[in-house]
Amino acid sequence: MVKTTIIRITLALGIAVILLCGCSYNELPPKTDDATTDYILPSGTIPTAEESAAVQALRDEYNNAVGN
Amino acid sequence: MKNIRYIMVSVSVLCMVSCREYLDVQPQGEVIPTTDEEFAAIMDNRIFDIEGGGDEFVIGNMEAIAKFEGYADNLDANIRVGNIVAYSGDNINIRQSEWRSIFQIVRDCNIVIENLEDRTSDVAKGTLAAAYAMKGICYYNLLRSWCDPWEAGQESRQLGLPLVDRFDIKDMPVRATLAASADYTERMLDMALAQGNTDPKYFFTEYVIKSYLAKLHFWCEDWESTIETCNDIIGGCGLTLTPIAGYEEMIQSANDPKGEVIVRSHINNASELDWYFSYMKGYIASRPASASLIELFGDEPEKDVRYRISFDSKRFNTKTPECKVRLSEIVLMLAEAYCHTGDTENALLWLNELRRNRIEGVTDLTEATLPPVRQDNRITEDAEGKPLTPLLQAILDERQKELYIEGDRWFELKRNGRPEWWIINNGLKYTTRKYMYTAPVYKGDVDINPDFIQNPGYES
Repeated sequence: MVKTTIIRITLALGIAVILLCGCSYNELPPKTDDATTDYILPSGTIPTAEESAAVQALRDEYNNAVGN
Repeated sequence: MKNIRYIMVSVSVLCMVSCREYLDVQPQGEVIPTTDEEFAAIMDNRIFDIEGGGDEFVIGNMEAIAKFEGYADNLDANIRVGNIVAYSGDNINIRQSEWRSIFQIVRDCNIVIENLEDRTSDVAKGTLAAAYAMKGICYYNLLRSWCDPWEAGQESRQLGLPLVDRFDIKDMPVRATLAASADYTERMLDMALAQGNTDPKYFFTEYVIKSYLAKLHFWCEDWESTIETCNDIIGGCGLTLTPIAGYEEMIQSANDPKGEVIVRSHINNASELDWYFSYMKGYIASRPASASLIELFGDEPEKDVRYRISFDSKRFNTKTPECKVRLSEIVLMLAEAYCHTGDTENALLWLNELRRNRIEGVTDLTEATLPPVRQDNRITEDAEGKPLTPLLQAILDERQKELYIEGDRWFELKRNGRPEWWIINNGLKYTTRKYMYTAPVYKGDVDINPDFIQNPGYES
C-alpha cells in the first residue's frame, strides 16, 4: 500500500514537473497577418513612342559625341 | 529498491528539464563588454570599419556612392544601365534593410554612452566623442534618407525618427516629429563637440563634427546657422580651397586625406576589402555620364579641372569614388545659405572663389552676367519651393560638378523639389516617383508595432 502510494506520488510529481517546465511564455513577437519581409517593387510600363524617341535621341547624341 | 529507482528517474528528469543553458552557444571570440576598455573597443571596431572602407552608413564608402549615383541622374541609365542599380525603385527592399544596419550602429553608440564609467580621461573623451558623433551622423543620414525633405513651417507635423536614447531590446519607440529628430541629431553632435577630442585616433575631431553640424543645418534649411557654422569652419580649420594644380592629386588620392579634405573614409592603405573596391570602381564606371552634366562644363570643358579628371573619352567615370567632406562643400553650402537669405554679394563672392580654384582663366560671375535659368533643368524649384533663380542655378551647377561621384546629387534632387523622371531599361519605363526619394523604414518594425508609421507609398 505504502509502496504504491510512493510510486503514484513520485510519478505524479514527475509528470507535474515535466508539464510545468514545458510552460514558458512565448518570447516571440505576436505573429502578424502579413509574413512577408519585402515590399512589392514598382513594375515598369510600356513607354510611348515619344518616350522611346527621346531615349533614342539621347543615345544618338552620346554615340556622336564619343565617336561610336 | 524499485522506489529508489523511480525517485532517481524523477529527480534526473527534474534536473534535466531545467537545464537549457547548454544550448546557448557563446560566439567564439566575442565577449559581453563589462570594462571601459571593452566598451572603447566597440567604438574602435566601428572606427576601424570607417578607416578600412567597410562602413557604408556613417561616412560612407564606394558601395554607398554606387547606390546613390545609381539612383540619381549624374549618370545616364537611358544610354547604358551598366553594373549599378538602374533606379531607386529597384532598391526599395535593400533600403529598408539599411535602416536596421544604421540602428545597429546607434545601438553600439548607446551601449558605450550608457556604460562607460570613466568620463574624464583622454581615452574616455575620445571614445565618447566617437560614440556621440557616430550617433549624430547616423541620425543625420537617417533624416536625409528616411524622412521627407524639410518643409519650413511643417517640420513639427512631418514624420521624423524614433529617438533611441538607451539600449533596451524591449523598447519600441515610435517616430518623433522631423523637428524633434533634427534637434536630437544636433544635440548628439553638440555632445560630441563637448568632449573636446583632439586625437585623430578617435577620428571625430572638432572640424569633422562641425562639418556634419553644418550639413545638418543646411539640410534643415536653417540658413543663419549654416552661415555661422560654415564661416567658423572656413576660418578655423586651417584648410584652404585646393587650387587647380593640386586638385587631381587630392581627388584621386587612394587613401590619404589630401588638400582641402576635412574627413574621408578608407584611409587604411591595406584594407582587407581592397579587392572589392577595385570591382566597385569598375561598376561605377560602367554607366556613362549624362549629356546634361557634360553640358554644365560649357564650350571649353577642358579648362575645368573637374572635367579633365572625371571622365574618359566615352564619358565613363575616372574620378576616385570615395566618401568625404571637403572644404568645397562647405563653401557651396555657405554660398547657397547666403543666397537664401538674400545676401547676393556674399553668395557670389564664395561661388567665384570656388570657380577660380577650378576653372582656368575664368571670369567672375556678377548678377548681370549670370546665365538665365535653363528651361530643361531637372531641378525647377529650390529647397523652399520657390522657382530657381539664375544665382541659385549657378550654385547648384557648381555643386553638381564639384560633388559628382561623391553621392550628393540624389539628395540635391530630393532637397530641391523631388522632381519625377524616368528611364527606359529592357524596353520598360521606370519612373522615379516623388515618394521614392524617401526610403521605406524596416518592414519588421512596422509589422511588430502598429503605432510605427511607414513612409507613404510603400505597400507590402
